[in-house]
Amino acid sequence: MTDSAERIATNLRKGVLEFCVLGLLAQAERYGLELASDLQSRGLIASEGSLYPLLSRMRDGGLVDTRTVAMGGGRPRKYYTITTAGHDQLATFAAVWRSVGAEVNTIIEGTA
Amino acid sequence: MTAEDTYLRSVERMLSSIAPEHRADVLEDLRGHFADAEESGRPVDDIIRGLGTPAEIAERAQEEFGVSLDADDARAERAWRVLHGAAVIIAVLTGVVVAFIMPSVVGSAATVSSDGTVTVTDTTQTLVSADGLWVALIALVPALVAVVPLLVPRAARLVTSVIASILLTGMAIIGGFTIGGFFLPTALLAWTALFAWLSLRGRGVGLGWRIVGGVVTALPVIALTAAFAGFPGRYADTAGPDVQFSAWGWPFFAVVLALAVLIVFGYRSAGWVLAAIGVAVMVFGLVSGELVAMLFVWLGGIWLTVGLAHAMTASRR
Repeated sequence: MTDSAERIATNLRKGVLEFCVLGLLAQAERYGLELASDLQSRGLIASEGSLYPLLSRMRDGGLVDTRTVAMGGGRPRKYYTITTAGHDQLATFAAVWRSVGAEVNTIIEGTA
Repeated sequence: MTAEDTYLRSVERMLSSIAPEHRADVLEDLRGHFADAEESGRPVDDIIRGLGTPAEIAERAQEEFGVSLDADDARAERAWRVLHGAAVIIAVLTGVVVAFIMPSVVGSAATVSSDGTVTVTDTTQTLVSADGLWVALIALVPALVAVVPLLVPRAARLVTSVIASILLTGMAIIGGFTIGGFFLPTALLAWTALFAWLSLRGRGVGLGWRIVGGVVTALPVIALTAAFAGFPGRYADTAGPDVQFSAWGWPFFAVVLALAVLIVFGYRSAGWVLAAIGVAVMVFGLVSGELVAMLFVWLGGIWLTVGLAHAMTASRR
């Protein structure tokens, strides 16, 4: 990717990352590493570590919750789950995304 | 220290400007991330590369939480109230003790008995019985000065606090080795409250602040140790407090030095313990009636100030 393509992608991803997290959690609860690896393999985050401040803020905002599961060896593992407020937010985003995406597609179609 | 520890330490430091609960969240998640990734057989270097630099995480946290002014503000407010409150309490205590309890020599009379022996009798009185209530009440003026910044609206705090600190320092210095000097700890606490308040609202306090705390805590101990160790037997023929002092002094000094080290490392509880020791030493100085009372009050005042300031600003336990 060129520098300018990278910059555009970074900016776009920044705006949608939160909703991608909600989307993945709507499919199934996941623990941090799972989420981070998934998002990174999809190219939605550049570095896995940047996910955790986002998760902390989302939990603070009531969009996600956590569930601690005892693992072998006594180590607890924290699973993230989506809350009702998170589902609502995801639905709102989906509607906005569809309408914005459609408009953007209409405009750039044939111009590039 | 393992590469993982170094990495987490570095993240913790870089996240110092965000609220403690978010910082704890992020660190806990990172620890889980390390544990899960290691379990799946990823080498630590690879995990760290995947996570990105601590600076990247800090940048993202900054974006998510802003500079968390609210949390910083609340912490600064609490630190200021506790430290300045302590200045007022110490001023009241010192004032009461100096005015009503502490004996001071007001005169001595020599009598010569028939066999030629001269007996010197010192008359000691408290300030209130020697000079009357109104003079004694002067000893409570520092407490009145110190309480003003706590009562004014927040907007006027900086100005009143600076003025009160200057006045308290002035009174302590002008009063010198008479009763003024007893109020040096009050002035010290007021200045420290102000400094902690401004620092916590600004860039926060770091290693430099803790090193100063540790050094200031340890210095009197090192100075006293040097004085005793350098001149063995110097006080041996002196009966009285000096000899007792050196006997129980060593373990006590060791404890204070250990606390100084723990403070540099950032352990909050060391601050509370040192503050308690400071109060005990001050009270001992105030009620002892010894010639060196002033030194005890200063020493205790320094430890109380450092201990309390550390307890209010430390980020670890």
